[in-house]
Amino acid sequence: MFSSIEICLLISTLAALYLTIFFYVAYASERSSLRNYPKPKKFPSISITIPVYNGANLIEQTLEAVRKLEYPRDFEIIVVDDGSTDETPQIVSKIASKDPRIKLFRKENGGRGNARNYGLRHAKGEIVVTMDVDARPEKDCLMKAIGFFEDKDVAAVTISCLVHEPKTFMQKLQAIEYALIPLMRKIIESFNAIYAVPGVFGLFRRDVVLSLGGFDEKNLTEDIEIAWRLLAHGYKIKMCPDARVWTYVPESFSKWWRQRIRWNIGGIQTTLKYVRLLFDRRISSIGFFILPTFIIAYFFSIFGLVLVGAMAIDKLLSLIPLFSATAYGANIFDNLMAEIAVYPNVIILLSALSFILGVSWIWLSFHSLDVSMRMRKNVSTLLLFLTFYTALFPLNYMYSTLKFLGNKYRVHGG
Amino acid sequence: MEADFMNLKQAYTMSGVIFIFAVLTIFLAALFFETSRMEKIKEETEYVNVLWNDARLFEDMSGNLSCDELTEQNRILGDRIYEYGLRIEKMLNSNKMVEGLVAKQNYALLDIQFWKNSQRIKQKCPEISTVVYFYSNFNRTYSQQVFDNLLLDFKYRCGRKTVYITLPVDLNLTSVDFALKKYNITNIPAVLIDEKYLISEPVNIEYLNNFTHCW
Repeated sequence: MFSSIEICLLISTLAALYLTIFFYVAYASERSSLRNYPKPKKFPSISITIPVYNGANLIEQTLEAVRKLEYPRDFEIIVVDDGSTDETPQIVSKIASKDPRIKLFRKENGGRGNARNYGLRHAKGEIVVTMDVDARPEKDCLMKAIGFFEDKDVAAVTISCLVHEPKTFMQKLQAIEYALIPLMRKIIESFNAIYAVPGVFGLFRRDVVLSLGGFDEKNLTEDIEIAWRLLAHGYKIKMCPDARVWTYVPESFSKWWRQRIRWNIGGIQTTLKYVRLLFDRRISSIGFFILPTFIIAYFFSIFGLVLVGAMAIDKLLSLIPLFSATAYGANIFDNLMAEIAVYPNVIILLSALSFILGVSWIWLSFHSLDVSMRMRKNVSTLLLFLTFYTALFPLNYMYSTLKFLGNKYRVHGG
Repeated sequence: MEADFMNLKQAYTMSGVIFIFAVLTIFLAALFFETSRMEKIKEETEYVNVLWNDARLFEDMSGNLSCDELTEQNRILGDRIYEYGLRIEKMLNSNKMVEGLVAKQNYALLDIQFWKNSQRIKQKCPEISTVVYFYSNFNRTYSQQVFDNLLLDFKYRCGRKTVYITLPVDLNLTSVDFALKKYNITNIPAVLIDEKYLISEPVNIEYLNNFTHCW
């Protein structure tokens, strides 16, 4: 019969299975139009804003990539130096002297959101592209994304963000994670539920963002918050998977950990700000999709980790005092293999189905949008992604929640 | 916005229908597997009868055997019973929907019979030790898991010189209840060695060897 741990496992597996099926259903209805993007008839003016803080080692290549962007009319490039203490302003000035499209603005350090707002206020383009200093956009990405703005209700467009030159183990894991996002984001577009326009490279209708008060400078993930605000005011956000930007990601675990704390705290801030919209039919994208999935994912991932932890402790405690490691090891393996291969039960079958659907989803994400062929062949990294990497998320959620509750975070700087 | 809501509603509903279909299919498949396992266990019950008769005949015929032969034959019989127990335990533990209480009761009765035989052999060959492990079938505590591992290891190391018997105490068997009363066993799990020494706190394998002298 079912033990209490098995009942918990069954509930989590069923929840994961439902969510996975949901995404397959959404995919099935969108599959024919995944890679479509409207051909632009008009070409609105564009301003590209790049907030930068101590980015001397990156800014030259970034500006080079931006200058190569294809667009039938000139666009302005606004570099907002957010109080850098390195050579960033000198490098930008030097390049700007050769290209009149580049404008350098210098201000005191005020944080990412503050710098984005500064760029937004000084931009003249009808469409403002917010861009990170470590972004490497492909030259056709503006042309592919701009057509979505023909629809007046569209206030923002996001594009595929992929990892540039992953070298370290952590970067390779993140490369898989980033490669899974475009498909997910594209299929939730049909519910108008794109919950983030990453600052790496996001296109916004300038007057709309300004009329809503610009980016929230107190939020650690102002790019998520602005997306929720646009949706809450009835605007649409579109995803253009074929337009791509490549970005650098943290190379070490500690940097990754800090980045994710920032993202999670920003996520919590945003969730709490809009929790009043839960089950609000007028803003169904937030009320019936984004908020429920955020909350369910948050609790179930922590619940899942606690569950796995409890199962591990359950096994470990039986080894104390350590009488018979050899026999015990043989016993575990024997029982496990017997259950999986010879004596399957409802939990094993449900877990197997969820696992198969999960792995197929990864394959589908890579295949449907033709993301990195090399990644598909790296099975060991994929396995580590599915096990080690995904287990880090709930740990980070918990740590971030504690930091948030203890008010141990800051908005400014960097 | 109404269109977004309708899209969402449609996707949730469609997912719900597929989800229910998938879960029902899985439950039916699991039920099929578990029922098949129970059928297999029923077939194996025939094997219990063979072992049961083997145990009784061995008891009748063992009067002319030397102690070495008796010990060896008893060990072989014990190993067969133990292997059978492991086999049905794996099958029954993996069952989540179909209970197999009768199979467990059958196994416990077989072990009781084997214990009784071993006690008789011990009267002629006192160097044999019996190690009887009383455990709960339904309430598997950490303490019991420790005992499980300890005795599993002990069986591997000392299987040739001891008779190892496992008895679930909560299967409503009068013979097991009688044994509990006779040896004054109140705490479970417990290990009874040679019907004299009762251990109900976790110990190490060396401590057990003080009573059985395997090495």
